[in-house]
Amino acid sequence: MEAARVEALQAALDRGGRREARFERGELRLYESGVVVLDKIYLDEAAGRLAEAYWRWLLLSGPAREAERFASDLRRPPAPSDVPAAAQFIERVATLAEEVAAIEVDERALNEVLYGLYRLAPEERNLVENELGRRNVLTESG
Amino acid sequence: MSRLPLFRGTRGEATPGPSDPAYIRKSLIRLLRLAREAQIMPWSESETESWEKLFPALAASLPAEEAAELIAEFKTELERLRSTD
Repeated sequence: MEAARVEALQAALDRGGRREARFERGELRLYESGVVVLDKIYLDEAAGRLAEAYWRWLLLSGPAREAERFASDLRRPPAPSDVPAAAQFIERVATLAEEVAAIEVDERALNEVLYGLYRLAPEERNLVENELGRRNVLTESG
Repeated sequence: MSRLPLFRGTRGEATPGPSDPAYIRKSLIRLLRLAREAQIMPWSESETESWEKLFPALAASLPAEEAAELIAEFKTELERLRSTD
């Protein structure tokens, strides 16, 4: 069971794509390209919010290629506690995620300017976008 | 020894090559499959907006009926995925 889950995680890491952690209705999930790769991790509200922030931080802080190592990192969220550090961590990860998203928006806007400048046809833009997607996947997966 | 022309002047107008419907079809079907299989949005907000604009522009090179079908399905999938957020 454990081996099958690690294998499925490895297949997802190999496929590449956008990774996202979500804690909803008491369940923590990891998605790759919008498809769930880890789920059924049931936690109470405090532990779930902290684990979600920790997973987001892991996804933001570095690429992961090896499923076993990645799974081992995912398994070690900080223990939930009432100390202000836990709340601060959740808050700072949210801020970091917003900043990363804002950078991506600026990058896209810059791309749009360049597409206009070079008068790229939709087909040429498609080639560039697919290339960017491949590059991001490579960057994300190390 | 050859010399690089450093001051050639203005660059000529780029002329887009002929479109390749087979490649476009493949790209659109890949995007559609990604959206169809996804449980949540597979792209970031800005990437989604970009594909939302580019998808119909690409589909315009395909036969009208096929393009309309692909665009409609892509829109439906995006609506479904947005409703999950």
